[in-house]
Amino acid sequence: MPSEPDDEVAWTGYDVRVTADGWDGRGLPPVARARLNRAAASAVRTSLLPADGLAGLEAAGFDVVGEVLGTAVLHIGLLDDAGCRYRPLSNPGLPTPTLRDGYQPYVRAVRHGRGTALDRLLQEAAALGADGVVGVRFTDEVMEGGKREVAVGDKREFMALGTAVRSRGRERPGRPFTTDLGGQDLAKLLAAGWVPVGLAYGIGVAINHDTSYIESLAQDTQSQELTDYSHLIARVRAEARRDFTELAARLGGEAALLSGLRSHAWRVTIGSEHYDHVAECIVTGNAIARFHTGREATTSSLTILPLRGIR
Amino acid sequence: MTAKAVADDAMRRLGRIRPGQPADLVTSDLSVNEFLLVREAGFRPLGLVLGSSIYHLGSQFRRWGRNRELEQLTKAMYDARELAMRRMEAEAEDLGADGVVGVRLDIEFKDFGSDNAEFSAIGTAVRADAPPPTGGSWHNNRYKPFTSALSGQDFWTLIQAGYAPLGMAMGNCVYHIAHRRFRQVLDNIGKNVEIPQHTQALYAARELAMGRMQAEAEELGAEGIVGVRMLSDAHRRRGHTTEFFAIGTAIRPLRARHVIAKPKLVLPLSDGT
Repeated sequence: MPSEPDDEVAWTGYDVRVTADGWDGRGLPPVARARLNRAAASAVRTSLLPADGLAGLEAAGFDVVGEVLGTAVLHIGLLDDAGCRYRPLSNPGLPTPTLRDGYQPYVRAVRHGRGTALDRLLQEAAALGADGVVGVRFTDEVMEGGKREVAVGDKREFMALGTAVRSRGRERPGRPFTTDLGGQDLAKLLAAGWVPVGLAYGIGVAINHDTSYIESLAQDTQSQELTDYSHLIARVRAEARRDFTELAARLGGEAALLSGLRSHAWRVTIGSEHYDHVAECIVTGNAIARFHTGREATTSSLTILPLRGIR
Repeated sequence: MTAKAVADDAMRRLGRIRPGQPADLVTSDLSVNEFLLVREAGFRPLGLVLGSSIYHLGSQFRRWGRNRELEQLTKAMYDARELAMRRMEAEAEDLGADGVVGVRLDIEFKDFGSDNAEFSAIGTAVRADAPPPTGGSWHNNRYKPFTSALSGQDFWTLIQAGYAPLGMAMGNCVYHIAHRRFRQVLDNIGKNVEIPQHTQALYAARELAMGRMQAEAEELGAEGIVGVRMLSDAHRRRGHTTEFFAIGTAIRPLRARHVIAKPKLVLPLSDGT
């Protein structure tokens, strides 16, 4: 993504190798170029939106120009560069923190993967003369097998797929907007004086060293809070939310609508009888900005009773 | 204004955006519909708020053949939710909120072993544009921001109808249902019959959960509870143990008349998904 700071873009833990058809990893791959050329030559406009999404898009004053895709596959070769820092014996006098941020090389890889996929999607959209991409679906999956935990040697595919649209008016934005909202939601937002600016996401990863105390609590017949784990989850959520808000603001948004907040945790074996818990949280959503400034947005809802059975 | 003119305005706004400027930004967990309706109801989203607690659920001795409540587990399940709710409320208070809308309470057993569950509460903190028509503040009688489990649409309708949420009322009960004696099992072979002690157990457990929810609403000085859901969740790993959980939003009246505009009838052309 162009708005990422330079050190993120310059992230490469690995060599970029040239593929058989001569692509060095910069710009769009030759197959994507060929597809865009075909799309430009044809009068058929493909869209991923359902019929009512298309109707909503038209009501908002936009037309479909085609379906766009961006994808990047990354090899995860390094997760954490710090190792478990829990050393209770080396400095017995000092309380050792059990909770810390970690997995920074992994976090940088995820940022790079998402940024690259979204950037390629935007390059395709720009090549089609689009003003924005709606209904973007983002997937971030480990190829081969759907396991939950993150591991060294994973091949992760980051993919963004959406429908490129163009305004019927004369104004063109500086760069195309992206949103995971569909045509109806876009129409409602625009009618209320808000425009989507871009997709934002935030990520947080932290590690908790599982002391024998917490492990004994987790086996007890007494019910009680496992505060170490509560702190671990709270920390990654707070970090992901902060990261999300920061990116949404950097994109130029005035408000952000969350579309997903996923967190999960898994146990890693560090040595014999020595475990850590790692937790990850990813927040995704839309940065939006107002364009009816100075007065209240013009929505007035109509109370209606749909003539269909609900459920 | 035509669609084209609106689209032009929107694109002009995008053209003016200079990325990279840090700004004060509001995050919300609401859908587009909810975001717009909550604003229309006279509330401004302040930010996403959440609280969570990871809780170890121990075990409690139970008699094989007797119906009874497992009070320690009831308390544990309640306390864990309460912790999550209080932490969410604390975040809302930090933001100077009048209330929290669209609150969802979740329990997940997945990441920390089968006896350890994550209880979480998540919602959007809001601030009202104006004080309530009754005077005073939107806070409830605990001097805390109100909490509402209603969707943005229901919240809008509630305010239109002259009611305000006070807080979420909840009650629960973990109940052990007696196993049947061997004789009874034998007697019932090949027959379709009611099992009275099971019926009775389910009645008793639901009644306890509902009664506790009602008591909470009374403490809040509520006129009623809306959007009540009665959930029952078989306890993991332990057969014959079920948690009954009742949750709803306690409300108070803002005015004496509670009429909303007569809704227009529409026939939607979408397939309802």
